[in-house]
Amino acid sequence: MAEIDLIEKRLRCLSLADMRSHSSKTASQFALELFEVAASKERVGLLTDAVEFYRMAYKLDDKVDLKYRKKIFEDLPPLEKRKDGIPKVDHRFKKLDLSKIRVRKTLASYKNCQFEPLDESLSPVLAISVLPDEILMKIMKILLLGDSPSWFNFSMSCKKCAYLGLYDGTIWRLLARIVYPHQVYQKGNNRDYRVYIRKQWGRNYLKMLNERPFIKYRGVYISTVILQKEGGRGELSSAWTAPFRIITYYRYLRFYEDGRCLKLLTILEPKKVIPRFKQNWRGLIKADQVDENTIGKEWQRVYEGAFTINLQGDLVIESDGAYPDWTFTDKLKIVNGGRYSRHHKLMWLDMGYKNKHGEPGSFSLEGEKPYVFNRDK
Amino acid sequence: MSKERQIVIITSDGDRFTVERKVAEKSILIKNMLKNLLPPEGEEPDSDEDNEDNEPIEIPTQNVRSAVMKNILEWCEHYKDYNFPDDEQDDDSKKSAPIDPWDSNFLNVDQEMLYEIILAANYLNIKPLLNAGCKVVAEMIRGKSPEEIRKTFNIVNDFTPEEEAAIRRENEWAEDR
Repeated sequence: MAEIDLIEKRLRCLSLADMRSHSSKTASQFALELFEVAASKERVGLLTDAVEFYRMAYKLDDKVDLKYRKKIFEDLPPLEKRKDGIPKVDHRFKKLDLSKIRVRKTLASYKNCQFEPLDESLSPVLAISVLPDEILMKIMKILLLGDSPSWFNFSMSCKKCAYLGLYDGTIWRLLARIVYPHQVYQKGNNRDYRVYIRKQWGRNYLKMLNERPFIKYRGVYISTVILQKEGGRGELSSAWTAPFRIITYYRYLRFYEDGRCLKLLTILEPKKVIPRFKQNWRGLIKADQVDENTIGKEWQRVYEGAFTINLQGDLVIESDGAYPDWTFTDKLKIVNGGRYSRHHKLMWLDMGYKNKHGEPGSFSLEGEKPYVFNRDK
Repeated sequence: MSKERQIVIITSDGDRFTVERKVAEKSILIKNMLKNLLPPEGEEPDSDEDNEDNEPIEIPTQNVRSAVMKNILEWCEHYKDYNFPDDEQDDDSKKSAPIDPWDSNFLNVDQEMLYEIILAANYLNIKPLLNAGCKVVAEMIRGKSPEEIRKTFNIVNDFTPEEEAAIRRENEWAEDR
């Protein structure tokens, strides 16, 4: 269990009066802890919980926000992290002007870069520099095949690695070969597909990866929906504003290369769902001895479905759902999340169904949010 | 039946290793050399050439020093009776297969030696050993941040902060799949 969860658990056992009169901690120390819990709730969209904790924090200490801010800065690693001769910049503090950098051109300019030693006193000649590019490339490809974040991190370690890992065309060809053959396409004319692919991208695999949508399998797509509903004023109430309540719920999707997928609609937040949201979720829940009555009930809403995509990134999911004898057809589109996150989101097009008499219809998409991909840790 | 000719591998620093033919032939480079000098294994040598028969065959390896060759030959000895599947096909699955525990333990040496073994395996054309060596290096990288990777290999971050941020921003998406 994460530290913040333990703190929350401990705080939930105490009343405000307990905190004010606690023997070992001051009220403002408690306020800070409450504030931290609130912030962590807010980050995952649990606004009702967040508000509750923020309120308690302010009741104990009206300057708690300033203290929280001070603590955040103190917790950051010290500025002095690198050796002399390298610019000391912590990216969180200085906004960098990236507008003038043309990334592909910059990478190309690294062609003749060599490894430079970090600490010359350790060894005068760098051990790794004896390896020729051909072998470094082999290592890059092993990483890309096995664990792509490691391939990326190795590429980001220095200019030479960036050139090998991010510029070279064979890397992108390998990634395309890893990605596309495992996509599940709608039944159609494969020959037309092939002609289209060749015409559109030829052998430019980087361009293909940038433009040709694909489903990512090593993670969960999550849609966080926050609804605000205004309630009525009490009779005789003289309040100026009507009370409202906030409801947060999540939709989860995980896809498999064999064309199956898992769907879940729940109020459980990601950290409770992601570790168990796998094909063997039933076993995982049992193993974790999840409380049957609360969390276990939420998990009864996991539905299995089947999906297909097409070259344009239209995604169709057919699944069972909350009503027996009905079928549900979700239509979504794979889109970029902003300019730099490729194929990162699933946008809603239609949430359709067929009832037990076979009559089709669609649910309202009001309030629904796109799914965003979260990589498995 | 005549005795098989001896095979002697001579290292860059002049050491001589006498080895069995099937150990030496784990190196495709040496195997191809021997093909021209010796009849296929199990066949009688041509009686016409018996004037050379008892001379050992000397194979010089200019790029490999004795300490490295000792390791290489230990590996070849371990696998001398094992036939590795044909090399050319299915390169991807070979790269993504987990490393053999014996290899992993065998290659648990310092970085200099590891790289020298990799280079020698490359030069001598011993693909399974080359693959194992590259996988060990990959394991040293796996799960580390760029900063930790730099520390592992003692390499400096030579990006400008702007370049680093721009390259990261534009390519980071590709690590999800």
